[in-house]
Amino acid sequence: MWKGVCVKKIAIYGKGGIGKSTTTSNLSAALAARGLRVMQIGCDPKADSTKNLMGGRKIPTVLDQLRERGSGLRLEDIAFTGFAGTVCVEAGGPTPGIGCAGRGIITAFEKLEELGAYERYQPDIVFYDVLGDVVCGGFAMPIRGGYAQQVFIVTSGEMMSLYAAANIAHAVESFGKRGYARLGGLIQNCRNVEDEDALVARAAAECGSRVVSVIPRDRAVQQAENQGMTVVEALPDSSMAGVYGRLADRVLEVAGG
Amino acid sequence: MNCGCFADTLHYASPANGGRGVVRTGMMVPESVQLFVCPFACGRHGAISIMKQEMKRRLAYLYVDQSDIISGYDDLIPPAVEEFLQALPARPRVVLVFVSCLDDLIGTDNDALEDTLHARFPGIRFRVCHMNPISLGSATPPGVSIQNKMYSLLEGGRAPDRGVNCLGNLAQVDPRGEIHAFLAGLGLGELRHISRYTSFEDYQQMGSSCLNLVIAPQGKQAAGQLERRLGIPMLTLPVSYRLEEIEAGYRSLARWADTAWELAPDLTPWRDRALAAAERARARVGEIPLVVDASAFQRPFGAARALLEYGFSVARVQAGECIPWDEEHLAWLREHAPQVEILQSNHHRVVRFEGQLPHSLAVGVDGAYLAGSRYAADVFNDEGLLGYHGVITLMERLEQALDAPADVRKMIHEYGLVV
Repeated sequence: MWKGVCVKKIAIYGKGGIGKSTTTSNLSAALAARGLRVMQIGCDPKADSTKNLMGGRKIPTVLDQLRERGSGLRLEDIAFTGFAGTVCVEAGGPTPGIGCAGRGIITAFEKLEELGAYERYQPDIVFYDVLGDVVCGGFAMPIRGGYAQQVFIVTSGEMMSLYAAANIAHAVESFGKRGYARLGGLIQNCRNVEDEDALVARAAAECGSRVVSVIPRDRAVQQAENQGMTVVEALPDSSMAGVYGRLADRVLEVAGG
Repeated sequence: MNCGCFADTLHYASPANGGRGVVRTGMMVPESVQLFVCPFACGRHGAISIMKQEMKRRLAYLYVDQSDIISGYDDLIPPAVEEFLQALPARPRVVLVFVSCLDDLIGTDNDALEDTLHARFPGIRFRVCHMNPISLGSATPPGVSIQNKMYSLLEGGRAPDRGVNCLGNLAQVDPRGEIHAFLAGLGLGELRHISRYTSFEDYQQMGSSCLNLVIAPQGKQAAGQLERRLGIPMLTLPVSYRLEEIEAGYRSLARWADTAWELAPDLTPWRDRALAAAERARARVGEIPLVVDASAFQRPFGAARALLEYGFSVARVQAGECIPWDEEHLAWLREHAPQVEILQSNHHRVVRFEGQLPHSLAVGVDGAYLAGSRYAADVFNDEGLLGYHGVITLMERLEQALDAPADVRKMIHEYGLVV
């Protein structure tokens, strides 16, 4: 287990399509632009978490490389340097329709440890960008001992998104009894649902948590993604870049520094 | 088939295939019992193996079904342990809870499970172990993982002494070997192996030792962990049958003990005896072709090289893979002895039995089975063998093999192998 390395480890969960990867990538970019050594590990079989940190390029996944290279797998085959020195990794997953995605995440994590990824890159902060709900042991892996210390949940005011957030919060609470990751709070990624702020705030309160940041819906995000970049990289002077900068401040504050 | 490489194919497993397995290996932990958590069919191999070893009272099974797999089964384990303990005549000091490869999909939080078990059953050490052949080829295959768990039970805290631990091998080094006097001559203490302890308390002596001697690769990770955790340094001294490697090993041991080679115990008489034993066996075996098999040696390519250097006629080396510790010798064989056939024992075409060598002498039971050898030497997994005495023993076994035709069935039974 990866222990003893002084680093902040943060998992970002949320329903599929809610904007986890966009949020996480912009967080990574904002912190990397400040000179921090950031590592982002995408834990989603569709493997596009880090795309906007890599100039729009999808990087080979740990599982694909493992299948291809077997025991000859090297760290360089799975970890790639993106915007402002961010170290990007995609766990990957099985062929759609078969296999076990949760096992894929476990395998990818084990491989990163075996290859000494954390010792080699010495990140100041690691983001785990994790798909959807905590549906099985594999998707709960980032919450467990030795991995993330804090979990943030990205949600909108849409019911399915809030439902997923409640499930994730429940899993974090269960694991929290074992001294694992704690729920840092909800990140509200606005979809302009009616009464959205109140809905998300109420959901946060029901989870015994809080809304740490509100990200407004803004065309800048799409404009940046069309260029294969984060807002922080493509439009550094935009108001949205400022939003992500403040989100980074909040996340660091909650994570203790 | 002279493949000269190891292909990733459908595997053939002969009745003589395999070693001790994780169940038998784990049973070396004194005063320990094992609880297997798996679907019932996964328990067959270990159960038969342990019945043959007459240790079945130390083994229990918690069979899991489909609903347990879907929901996770970690909450079923503590009550199962409770029931197991109630059925035992004495309270064990250690419970090894084995999960199968199924658990790699379920992702049970084993650290949390161990904490729960320790809290519920104070005084008993629990270790969650994996019986997962899918980890073969990884950095921590089952044979390595079980040794990590076994030696993680050494707790330290006793006064350090001059004892030396022997790790990696699954049987004690023969007490008649020169290593023991050599260690004494360097001012070191006894050579300790887990198999000689019957009480958990006495086993803790190994935590006081000043050195871990790793003689088989399966113990290297455990030695590294002991170095970090208890501060016991490690020295790698692989079993070898080549005189120059044996001497190099002893020289490194003397260096570690800060003793000049000239002041270390003189091993020349042992070397001479080993050489004489090799000459005698060579004369008796003559031109009978040898099959050198990985069931006999951790490093079959190294053993084959040694036998060729002693003048034997090695016809075949048989192995399922070439481990990193043996790669140098495989390269040597390819360059200097290209006539030696390299047979991948688990290759799917082996099942045709096309390459039988009925007039051969096999060193290793699996080699004897596949080649249909007339003779078979009783050497299994380097057990008991080390240094010059190991060479002498190997040569004696080669000679003894000629005394009677091979009885492969009997050997399989005596080694406790299970198909």
